[in-house]
Amino acid sequence: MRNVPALFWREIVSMFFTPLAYIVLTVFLFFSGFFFYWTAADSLRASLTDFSGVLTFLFLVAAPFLTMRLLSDEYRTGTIETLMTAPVTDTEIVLAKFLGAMTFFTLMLLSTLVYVGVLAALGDPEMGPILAAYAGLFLMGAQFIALGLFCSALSPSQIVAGVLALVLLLVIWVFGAAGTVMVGPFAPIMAYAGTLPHLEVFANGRIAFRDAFYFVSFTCFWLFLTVRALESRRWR
Amino acid sequence: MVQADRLRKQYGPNLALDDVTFEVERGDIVGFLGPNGAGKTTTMRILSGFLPASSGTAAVAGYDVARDSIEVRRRIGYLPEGVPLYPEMRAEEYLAFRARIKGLARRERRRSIASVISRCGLDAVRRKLIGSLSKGYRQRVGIADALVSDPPVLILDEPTIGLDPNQIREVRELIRELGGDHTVILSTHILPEVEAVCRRVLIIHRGRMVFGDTLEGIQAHGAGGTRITIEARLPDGARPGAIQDVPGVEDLSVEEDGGVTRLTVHVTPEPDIRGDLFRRAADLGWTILELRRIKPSLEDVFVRHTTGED
Repeated sequence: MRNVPALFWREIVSMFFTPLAYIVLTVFLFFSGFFFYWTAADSLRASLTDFSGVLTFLFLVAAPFLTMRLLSDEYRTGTIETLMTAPVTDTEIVLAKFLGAMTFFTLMLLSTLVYVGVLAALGDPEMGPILAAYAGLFLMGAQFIALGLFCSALSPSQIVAGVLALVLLLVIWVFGAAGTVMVGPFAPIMAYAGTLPHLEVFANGRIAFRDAFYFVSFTCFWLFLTVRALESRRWR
Repeated sequence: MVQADRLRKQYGPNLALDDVTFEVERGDIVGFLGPNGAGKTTTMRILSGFLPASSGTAAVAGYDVARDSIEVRRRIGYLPEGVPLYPEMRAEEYLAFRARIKGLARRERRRSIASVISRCGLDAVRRKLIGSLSKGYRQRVGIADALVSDPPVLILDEPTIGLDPNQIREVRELIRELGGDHTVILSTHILPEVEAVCRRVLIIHRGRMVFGDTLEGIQAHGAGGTRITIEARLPDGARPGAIQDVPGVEDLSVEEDGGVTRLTVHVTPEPDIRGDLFRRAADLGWTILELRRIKPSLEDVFVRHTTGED
């Protein structure tokens, strides 16, 4: 893990030098501002419960844009060859890319704290549930980015990687909603695999070990698959 | 320093490398030649640990490229085909990043980056974005990257492609300087480049190693052999074959062209029998227009080993 800091810094440099990151950030800020007004200000309640649901969906759309170039671009330009012939392990490469994208995601998440400030200035929100909601959103972001990174490891095309990530994210999104209304043997499995039920626990102001475990384990699962996908390029 | 033993590489149904075996001594500069698609890049990728061989083994500095990949990668500087670089980084920043992941300590890093920047002539562009650099400069950034950790083995895939003649000279000069303490394997299909830089030549054709020798070896006993061509006007009725009894002549071919006879005389490489041939021809009453010795060239060898036999 010795090389992760150096690889991580390169990710940060390249992230902040590409216009895409700024476009994603700008669009995100616009919509989050709009929906904050829509949900919180309009309902006249000093709470972020509805707003965090909206943020979930915004992140679902934004995550593929943040992750699609991570490995795809290295394949397309051939820099993967210089990277994989340097004395660094595949795990180090994947971790550095994950942490780089997580840094940008965290920045996006922190930018929404301004709305918490607005609530605090105009009302008297309960801070406990808000903190829990943010913890949930952070864990969810880690899962989304790990999944997007895996998609990026599959294709030299950013478009393919991005669309695949979006589709998979929508699938686990739908799983959560469908699992709670469906009946039958697969319903509990779908409900567990889906993101929403776990996120709702956080949004309602609780930090449950079971739900944190869901996010952490899925994040590790996608990162593990990413390392495998990267390794497999050596064995083709 | 570098050993390859019966390397095979299969891409689906295509056999890219078939039973490639060779060895490169410490300090040698080896030119890796072959037509496009012969398997040069595949071999280099196997040596650098980017691709595994389907079977066979390769070792760099005593470490197996598949089992001890990281140890091998610590000891090679690799310039991949096409010089992939990050366009959004500055030249110096990129070299600093590469030096860091190659495990150089901070102080060592500063010194070796300064050294490769001046050796590769990058002073003027060190703070420029790589994406804005010309092809020649990008190539030099790639070479600087290969050199930055001062590795004992350098693997350069077409290091001079895309450079202008002056830059080509500079890069060749640099590579020549590196020989001795570094082992260099470079691929190219520019034959004069190999003659200018390399001590040994390996020729690969359709995935097979078809030739391996030193440049001196090629000149001494290469394919095609040493030849002397004579253009002369012969007196009426003279037999061109009369010259064949000069000691050292092995074979003779004759062409007639409007009163001028062109003879190609295959001779033993040593001793030089140009004088004997001249005197013999003069005794026979021939008027010599031209007499020239042709040593076997790399081009002869290359053409002979990479054409025909389909």
